[in-house]
Amino acid sequence: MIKLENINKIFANNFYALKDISLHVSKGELVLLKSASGGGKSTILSLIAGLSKPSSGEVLVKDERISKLPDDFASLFRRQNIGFIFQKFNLIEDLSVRDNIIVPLIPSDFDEDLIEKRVARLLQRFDLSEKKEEIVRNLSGGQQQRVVIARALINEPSIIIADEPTANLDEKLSLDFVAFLQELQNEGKTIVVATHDPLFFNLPFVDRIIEIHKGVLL
Amino acid sequence: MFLLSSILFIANSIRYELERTLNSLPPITVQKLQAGRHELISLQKLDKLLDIDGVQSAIPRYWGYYYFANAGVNFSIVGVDIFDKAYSDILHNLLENGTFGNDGMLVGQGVAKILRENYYKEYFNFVKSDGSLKQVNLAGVFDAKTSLESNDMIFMPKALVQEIFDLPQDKATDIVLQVANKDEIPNIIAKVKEIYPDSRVITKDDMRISYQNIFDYKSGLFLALFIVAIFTFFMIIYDRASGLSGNEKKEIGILKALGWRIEDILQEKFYEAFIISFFAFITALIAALSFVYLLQAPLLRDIFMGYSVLKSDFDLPFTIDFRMLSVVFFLSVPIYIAAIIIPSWRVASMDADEVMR
Repeated sequence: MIKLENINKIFANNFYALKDISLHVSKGELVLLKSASGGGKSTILSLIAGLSKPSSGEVLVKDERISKLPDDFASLFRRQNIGFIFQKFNLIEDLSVRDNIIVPLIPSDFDEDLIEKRVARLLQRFDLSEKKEEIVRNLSGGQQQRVVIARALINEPSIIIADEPTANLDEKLSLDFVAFLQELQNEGKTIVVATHDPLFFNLPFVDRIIEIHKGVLL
Repeated sequence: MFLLSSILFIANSIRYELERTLNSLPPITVQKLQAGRHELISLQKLDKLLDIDGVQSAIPRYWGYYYFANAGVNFSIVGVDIFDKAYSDILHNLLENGTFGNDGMLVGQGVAKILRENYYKEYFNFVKSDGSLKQVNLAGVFDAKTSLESNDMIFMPKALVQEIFDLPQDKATDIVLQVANKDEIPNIIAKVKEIYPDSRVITKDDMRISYQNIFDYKSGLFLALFIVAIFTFFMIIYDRASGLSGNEKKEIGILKALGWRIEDILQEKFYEAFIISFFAFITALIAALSFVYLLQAPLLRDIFMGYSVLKSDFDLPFTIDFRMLSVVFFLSVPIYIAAIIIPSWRVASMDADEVMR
């Protein structure tokens, strides 16, 4: 499903964020990328999502060489296949809950009825129906996190990528997120989570934990 | 945009007024000069002027300036004949029976306003040259669309003008000539000069140059204001075009991360910029129209009124020039859109990861 082959990512001043990384994630697998801050796990997620390109090596997602795709095609591929859950939520703060959830669908030619059906289903699933028209800025952290997950699922992607998803949540909300994650795994989604939150490392439904240290797989 | 539109509206109104004034002027005006100054002209000259080939009519005019000390303004008093074609239409429209009798006057809106403010609602007592008073009744007021020139005017019968200004019966202020063929004007002028060397002959073109000089001086001031407004606008545009704020960049990064292509982002930015700039354009236009034509451009108005402090109040005539509106539109809306699109394109072309970092 996801394959990274001999990936190097070099930033300014010849700083190696990733050094010769190769890894493989199978369909339906839930994989954790574990490292300290600045270890390179977020960079791997960016490469998988096609948000940035490797300095060398190749990234294949669903057999598509995403690292070689032109920018617009990578965006299109991401829209159709990947749901992204960000560490800092990255919601558009002046928009309502509903409008934030449908952001990934706006450039698509989806039927209005279909969009509304999907939104209604997700609002119900994440207990946000009553907050539908609320401006997201006014929501609590837990509610914002649920909006982020709903937004990641609106395109019904087969791959979910989460970057430090519990970094801004308290313990109870973190446990709620873990429950959502298990639901998504049960639905057959392929999930890659970058985290250093100990909460995740003893979960029975996690398939694999990949440790990274200073850009190198351990 | 508001300031820009207001300046253009005012300049346009003055230009419109200038044209209107020029169109109403006679083709040739003959005045007598004595010691280099304008003096009363003898009516005996009428016959000889009429004899000149190409002259259709020669009409004496009786006019002068009356200083109204209470308000510190000059009124222009013009003696008219109700049978005079130039005035008969106005008189018939505004006066009952088409006449103001022997002791009536028709005044411009500016004059009416000043008289009202000084409690002269039905009549006014003019002080004659011998110090005695002459009561003249207010028979009517020009309509609201009165012009810059006629706004401070008072029309009354010729006899009253002669009485108030103590004009001799055999003299007039000047004589206007109507001509059949405009091409003949230089020949007629030469002939008048030949017959009456002490005369000054003023053509419509001379008046046009004179008015144009005043207008050019005024428009120079407007040009300075216009440049300041444009400069300010472009400073804002430059600020917008030179880079997006952190939040705007982050928003573009989020959209890219969520699968928006560059063209999707630019399309969204285009709609956003168009709605903002078009709404601003319409709002500025309505505000400028209200400021100039409803409020009569307070502050800005003083700039172009400066040359005629002795003139009474007047209304800026309402006139819309669609070419001018197009200039304001093309100076604002497309430029603002470009100032949004270009930096957005630069940011959207970067890696989303880089933008969000």
